Amino acid sequence: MNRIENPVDESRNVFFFSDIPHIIKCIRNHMHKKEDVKFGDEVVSWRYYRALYDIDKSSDIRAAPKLSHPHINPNPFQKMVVSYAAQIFSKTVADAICFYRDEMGNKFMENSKPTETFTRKINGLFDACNGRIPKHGIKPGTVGFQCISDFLHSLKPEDSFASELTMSSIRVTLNSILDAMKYLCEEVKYAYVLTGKLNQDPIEVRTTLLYFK
Amino acid sequence: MVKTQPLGAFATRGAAPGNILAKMVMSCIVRLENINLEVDGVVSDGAANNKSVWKILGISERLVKL
Repeated sequence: MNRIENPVDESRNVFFFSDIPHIIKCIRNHMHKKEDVKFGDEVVSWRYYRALYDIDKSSDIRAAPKLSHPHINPNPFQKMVVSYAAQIFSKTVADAICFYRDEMGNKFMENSKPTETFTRKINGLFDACNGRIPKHGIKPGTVGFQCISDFLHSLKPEDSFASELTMSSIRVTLNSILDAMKYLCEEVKYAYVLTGKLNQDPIEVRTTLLYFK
Repeated sequence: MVKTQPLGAFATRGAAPGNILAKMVMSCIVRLENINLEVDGVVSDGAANNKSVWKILGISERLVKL
């Protein structure tokens, strides 16, 4: 169950969310630790990201220019930086893997198709869950909504790209996003929902301000 | 327009246990609702104490119908 009844008004619910950027980091950390993980029936591997960086860093024109050492081997402080995790699971990286496999015929990348697909899916999911401006706002029936719903339904019990704990957070959070969106758009008549607001950035901004004052 | 507004901050010795946090969450919801601010969601990160709040409030991935 992803909600509780509102303690004041029993006709409404209070939904529970886990911070999406945090989940993305958890997935990255888990894959970094385990190397080979399962996604659906396929094996997704951290090796391909590492291989991609190793080939790419020495080429004159880079396929994934943003990739750097901290993306592949983050130290404990770099593990807290969301952008490193978000950039690993980006369209650019997926395209770069595809480029080295198909265009350059790299032997090591031969079986990297599932990793590429996985990267695209996480990228789509993160984009759908991080809309901050009206253009990126989503409501039932839009591409973003479909993307979240598809990802949620494609999850299988044997998936191991994140720890058990993270997997359950993912399920609860995605369910909550979908349910909250249906409630807000269909009953409260919102025109759209900005999913980028469903995270704990406000509190992090606050504590950072206090910390550096 | 004020977009975000802190409600409160609490000093604890070590991390606050889940049962206390759960009470604080419920208390926040009730206080906000009393001044007509509708609460639709609660966001937390995946820390163990926050997870225990979920557990206490009955949040889990299992689909339990009433």
